[in-house]
Amino acid sequence: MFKSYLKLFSVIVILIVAISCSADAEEDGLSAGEDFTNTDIRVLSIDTFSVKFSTMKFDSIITSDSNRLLIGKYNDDDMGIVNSSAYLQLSSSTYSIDNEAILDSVGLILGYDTYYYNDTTQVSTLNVHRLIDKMESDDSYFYNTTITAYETTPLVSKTFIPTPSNDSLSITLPYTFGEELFNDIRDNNITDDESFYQKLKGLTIQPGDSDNGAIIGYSTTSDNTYLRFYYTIPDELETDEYTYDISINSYYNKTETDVTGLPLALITDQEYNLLSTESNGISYNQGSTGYVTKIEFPSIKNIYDISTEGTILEATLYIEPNTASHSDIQPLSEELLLYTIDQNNDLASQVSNSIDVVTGTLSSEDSEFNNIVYSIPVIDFIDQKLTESPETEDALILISSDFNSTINKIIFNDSERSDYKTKLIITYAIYE
Amino acid sequence: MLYMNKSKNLIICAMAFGLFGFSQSNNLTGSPYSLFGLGVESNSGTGRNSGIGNTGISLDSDYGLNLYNSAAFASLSPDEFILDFGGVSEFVNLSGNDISEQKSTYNFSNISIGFNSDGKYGMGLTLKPSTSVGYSLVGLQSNIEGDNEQFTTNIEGSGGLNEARLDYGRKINDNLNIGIKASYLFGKIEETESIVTTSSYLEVSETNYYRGAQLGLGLQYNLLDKHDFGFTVDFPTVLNGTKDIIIGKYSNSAYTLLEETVDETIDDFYIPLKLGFGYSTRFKNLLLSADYNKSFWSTTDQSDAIGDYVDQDIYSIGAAYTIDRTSKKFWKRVDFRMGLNYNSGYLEVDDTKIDTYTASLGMGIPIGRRSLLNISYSLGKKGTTESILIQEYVNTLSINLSLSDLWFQKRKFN
Repeated sequence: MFKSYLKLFSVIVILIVAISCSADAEEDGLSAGEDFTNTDIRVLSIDTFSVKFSTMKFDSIITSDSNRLLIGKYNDDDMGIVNSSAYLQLSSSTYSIDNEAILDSVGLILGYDTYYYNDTTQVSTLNVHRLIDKMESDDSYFYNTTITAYETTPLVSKTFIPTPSNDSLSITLPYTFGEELFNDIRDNNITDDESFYQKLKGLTIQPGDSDNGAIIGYSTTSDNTYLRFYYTIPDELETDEYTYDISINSYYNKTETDVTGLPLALITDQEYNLLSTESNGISYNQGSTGYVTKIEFPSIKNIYDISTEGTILEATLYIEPNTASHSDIQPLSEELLLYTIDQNNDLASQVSNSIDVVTGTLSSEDSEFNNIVYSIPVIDFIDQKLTESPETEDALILISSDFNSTINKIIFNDSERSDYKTKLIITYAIYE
Repeated sequence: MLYMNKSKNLIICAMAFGLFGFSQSNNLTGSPYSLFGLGVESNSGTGRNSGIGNTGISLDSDYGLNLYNSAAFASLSPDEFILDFGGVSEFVNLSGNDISEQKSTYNFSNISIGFNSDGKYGMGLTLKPSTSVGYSLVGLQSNIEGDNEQFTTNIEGSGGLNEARLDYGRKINDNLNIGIKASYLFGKIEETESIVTTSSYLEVSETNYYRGAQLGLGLQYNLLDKHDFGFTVDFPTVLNGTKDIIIGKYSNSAYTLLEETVDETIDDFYIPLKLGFGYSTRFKNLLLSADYNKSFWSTTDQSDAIGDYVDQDIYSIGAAYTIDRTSKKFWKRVDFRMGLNYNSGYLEVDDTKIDTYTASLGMGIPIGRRSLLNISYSLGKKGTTESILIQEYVNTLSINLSLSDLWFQKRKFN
């Protein structure tokens, strides 16, 4: 008899399980009883928190790991005279050439890496000088400010019109310069890096003094940029031409600007903050030279006047780039990374959340009307500011990931100058 | 019956309690009214009660366990052991201001065991839902202040209170049984409110835990073998509550925990005095039964977000008919039942009580010599569509199995 109970019971259990599982299909838009709820969550959109811009300049920028030689000179309306030169130390993996070899010619091949900034249609000059001193550094890095002495008279001066879409630029060096090095290697006077440096401490490639064209990027890899010796071996039946290459061992870009007569001239050291109100309502950013816009939200803590039982759901900083300061040949960076700096304007940390680093992007939906703006998610930074203890003077800066290897500038219009297109919009939820 | 084996009973118990555990994860109601208080009262009854309009204060244990009066446990047959469990499914039609929605829920209704060792007293142990919460408000649109955009609010509630209960009924004399019950009420009610903007959301999850004990007394008196009277009293009690809160947000693609509070003390919940009176009588094979219950909610001085607690009256009548219980023919032994019930509710919103009218039909199908499969269907109308209120048509199907056996007797034959 209990067997039949068990059967019946099983049937009921199966039935209940089956219908339970088939239930609870998620429907959308259920609102019966809406008025019963005492939900008191409010959501506010606030755009009245002030945004403060000032320009600061890092004392130095590491340029020895930028994977790019930046060479050129031009006059920038905002940044002044921008001048970038490259310093190279060369070496080879094997110092060995056939004993009978005779040098035909020597050239410096600079591989274009497709980067350029400003006007490439202008005739430019490259002056190749020997270094007098060895490139030296206290910390294994070279900076945009590192100085290495070089011979006043260039080995060679090359005038050309840059074509960054080509593979490379070739500069023929004096035969005597090449012959000396070539013969020393052939005759085993040069056998290693050290003995090579005795003969050639390095080269620098300087733009022409009166150039006003483009800053061009050249490759640093041995495949693309090298010192090439062309030689033959006379005893051979067929006189094939051979090559022997020496490539870049270490390098840096010395990048500087002459800001005489510009608002930027007021900046005397890294701790100086040039308020946007003192520079015509704009603030500056420029790769390789170290200019960045310091962004602060002085009144953000007033958000607690609205309610302390609340949280920021979204915080987006919109920044209008100055329309006169970008063009096809002076493009804007598409993506900016967020970093914090401390009260001494020293780099503190990169802004990130539990998922990823935070990035701001250029939105160009209305680009035909030049209504492009950067939209920067600053919630992680602001949440950090609101909860930090003790309070700090940490501020926000925006730099592109290739800040150390480009010369791109970004000029921000401050709130007033942008007619409040530059603004901070906060979505605040109160859940008392 | 000779092949009966206690281990099989144990298996059934284990399976049934397993069912209870499983069922805890589901809502037992889809009623928006479960937003109030500790949820809606569970209307699940054992045995025949749900078929006869939820009456039973004056009824004995002739047709299985009767949880409406603990004194009824005294009337279990000597040496009888009963296992009673079942499930209930609800299909609710909601209508209100421009709103018409359907919801369905399925769940377990109770599991009880009861026994009488020698005819003098009976005892029972029951686990059942006491109140249940189950609402979901999805896609409510509100304006973001200071902007043209909107945000969406979703509110979901679930959980409820369970009752673990011990009944003891004792025969004083041939006409009078008395009973006492001790209940432990416990459970959690969860509410999750989330607001969603275009690229972020905020979620506030609250879990309220309540627990407390309650005592009740019952009495059943038989007059001239024809009139049965019942009386019950459930003493007022206080449920202590604690609350866990978790608030988190999802912004800029990352989740942040904003607040996590555990075991915060919240207001106690007061359950008032409840009195119940029942009368039943028999005309040959026809049973007539009537109950009246009153709960003095106004004395608890409690109020909810939009409503007040007011005294609750429940009137119910029911009838059951069997052609011939002793017949060899199966269908002649089937018990047919019907009933009506009016429950005034204890909540008053805008001077309107959220009351419920219910009509029920049911039958008890005999299985073997002593066991029953009870099936009932009821249709209830709850609330009104006036003002902000919701009217619900609740279709309830209860299935309940009452397995009865003579346990202790067998030992004597051994």
